[in-house]
Amino acid sequence: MKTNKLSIIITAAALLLSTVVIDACKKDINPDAFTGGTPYLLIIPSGLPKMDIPANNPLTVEGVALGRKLFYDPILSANRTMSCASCHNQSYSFTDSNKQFSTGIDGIKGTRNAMNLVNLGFQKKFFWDGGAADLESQVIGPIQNPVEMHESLANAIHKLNTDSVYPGLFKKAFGGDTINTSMLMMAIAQFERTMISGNSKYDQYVRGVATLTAQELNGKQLFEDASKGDCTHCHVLGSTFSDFEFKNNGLDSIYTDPGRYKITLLASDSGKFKTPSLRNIALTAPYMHDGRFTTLQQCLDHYNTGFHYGAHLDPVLSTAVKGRMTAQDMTDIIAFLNTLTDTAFINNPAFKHP
Amino acid sequence: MNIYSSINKFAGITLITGAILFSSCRTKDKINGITPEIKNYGSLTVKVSNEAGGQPITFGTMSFTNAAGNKYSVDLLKYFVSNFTLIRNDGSERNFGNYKLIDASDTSTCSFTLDSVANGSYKAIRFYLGVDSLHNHTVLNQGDLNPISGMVWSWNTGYIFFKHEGSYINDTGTSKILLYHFGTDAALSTVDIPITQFDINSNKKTLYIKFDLNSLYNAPNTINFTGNNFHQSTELSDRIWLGNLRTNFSSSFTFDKVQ
Ligand code: HEC
Ligand code: HEC
Repeated sequence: MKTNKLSIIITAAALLLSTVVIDACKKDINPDAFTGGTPYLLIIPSGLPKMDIPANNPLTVEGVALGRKLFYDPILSANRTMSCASCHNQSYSFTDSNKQFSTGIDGIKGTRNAMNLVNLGFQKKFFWDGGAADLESQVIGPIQNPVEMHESLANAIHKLNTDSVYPGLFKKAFGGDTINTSMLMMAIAQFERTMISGNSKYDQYVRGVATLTAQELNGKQLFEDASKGDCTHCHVLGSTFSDFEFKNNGLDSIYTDPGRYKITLLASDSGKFKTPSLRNIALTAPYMHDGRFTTLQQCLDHYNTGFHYGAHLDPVLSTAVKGRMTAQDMTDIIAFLNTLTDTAFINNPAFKHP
Repeated sequence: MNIYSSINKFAGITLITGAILFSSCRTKDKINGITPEIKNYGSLTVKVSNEAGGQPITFGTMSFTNAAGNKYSVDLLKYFVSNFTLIRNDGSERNFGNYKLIDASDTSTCSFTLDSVANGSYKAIRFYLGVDSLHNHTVLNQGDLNPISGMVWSWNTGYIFFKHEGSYINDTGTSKILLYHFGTDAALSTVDIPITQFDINSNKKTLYIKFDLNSLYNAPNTINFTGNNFHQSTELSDRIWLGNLRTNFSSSFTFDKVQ
């Protein structure tokens, strides 16, 4: 027995040596070659779906920690004054406090409201119009955008490579002596995939460890009721509170911002925006892609009576009766929306400035 | 069999394996060393020269005039050539699946090498000006598709296929900015260069192609810069311009020679 085990070990060693030798045909033998970081154990609260993590960017402890440091570091902006967290503040579920539009490093304001960064790992397209095709690629948007961090990627990478700590941290996470754009994108995306919210009062209610008040339960009912809120049609009740599709919810009939149309150039996509998740919605005012509403009551009024019958209005709303919700109905829906606030998420030390 | 003899036996095998593998490295190197000589295939270098009205591009001076009569300058000229394809006389095609970012200000970027190209007679060249949709939907790429080149959008994931930045003199004689950032999936442009015939063989291993900026702004659609000098492919108002340039790219590239 013992002998057999030993032979297996030695044979394995021989095989290992062969691999090393074959590699050596291409490169010099490197005794401390990078073998990957420490796998990160991602805990997904029950009730949330499985997360598809891209095979080319597995989560590692080193990668997530690096992504978190980068998220909070103004080094990525041209004049080192602005980080991702400047517009994505944890206390407001990673939106920009109560600002309608965020101001970039040159003092210029953008035209869209900063988005809620919650459960990003379950989504496929990013930005209000879905212009960013994956979470990794999204990262370079704000860095380069003239109304945000206004930095060239070349300079951002140069600053990281000449920094005293980053080269070592990147090496631990991804191997290699030189930081490249892929590593930067991968690190931040890794951190973002860990930003999971699934412990609101509503989640606890679903898990049977909290109870909703009669008003909150009524609000939930109305949220689903096809003749009342019918919100669940787009903001799917359950785990993500969004279908992550692009919908026209009737904010305008003439569009200053054409939304999804800008990406696809399909007329049918005019005025469509990504259905945002309603998680932590009580914390993310103002609302909508242009932050036009300051309160949830205004949002409810919009869905009750305010929506416009534009050519591309979603059928759910074009067939909905105006004035179908009473003032009490709307108050109850808002009470339900308030149960989606996850204080554990906004206080989670793992997402704070490292 | 006792443990020690077993160790010895396997240690012996290990050593032998190692020795075989080490020597196989050398053999492989030797084979690699003679591969280029093997009869019917060889590498082909493609060289692109960048001109405007037949003159080499010079940067930062108002030295060019387009067909619409606008005097203009070039401060920056960069574009992607991808999926370079050679078409043989018998109609068979070979797509090299490559991605090349050409920066007209740096000749080291204006050529690329295709490996194991069959010797023989060819009748056409085809490639994309831009990046195919499969590769245009992520920027998690290195090499010529590394987004560090700045040839990427910030509002949308994907590559800027073509950039010309400079200035031009408008109808009233004032110098204005000229900024053309061309791209998005729908703008991907297929460049077809039909050629009577050209041969590739061990003496003819460099293919010369010309790109002419004045041709791009001339045929079949004449582009007048006046009131049409700033396009980033993001607005509804960019669509006509996008369509015009997309059609024009084919005639802006011409075959020069193979030698
Ligand atoms: C100047 C403010 C500002 C800064 C700085 C900023 N963002 Fe944003 N962020 C926004 C705005 C505004 C949007 C919505 C943009 C749009 O839809 O066009 C957004 C959207 C996003 C989204 C999309 C979320 C979704 O659900 O689709 C992600 C992810 C994101 N930002 C991450 C980052 C990261 C990472 C950084 C740092 C590299 C960063 N942001 C820096 C303002 C900012
Ligand atoms: C037809 C699909 C659809 C329906 C039905 C719908 N919404 Fe929305 N909702 C959207 C879209 C799309 C947006 C983003 C629109 C924009 O910003 O242009 C949005 C935005 C919101 C916002 C703002 C979110 C933010 O982060 O700024 C709130 C709050 C909201 N909806 C609540 C509701 C409620 C409550 C209901 C039911 C009364 C409802 N929605 C019904 C699609 C829908």
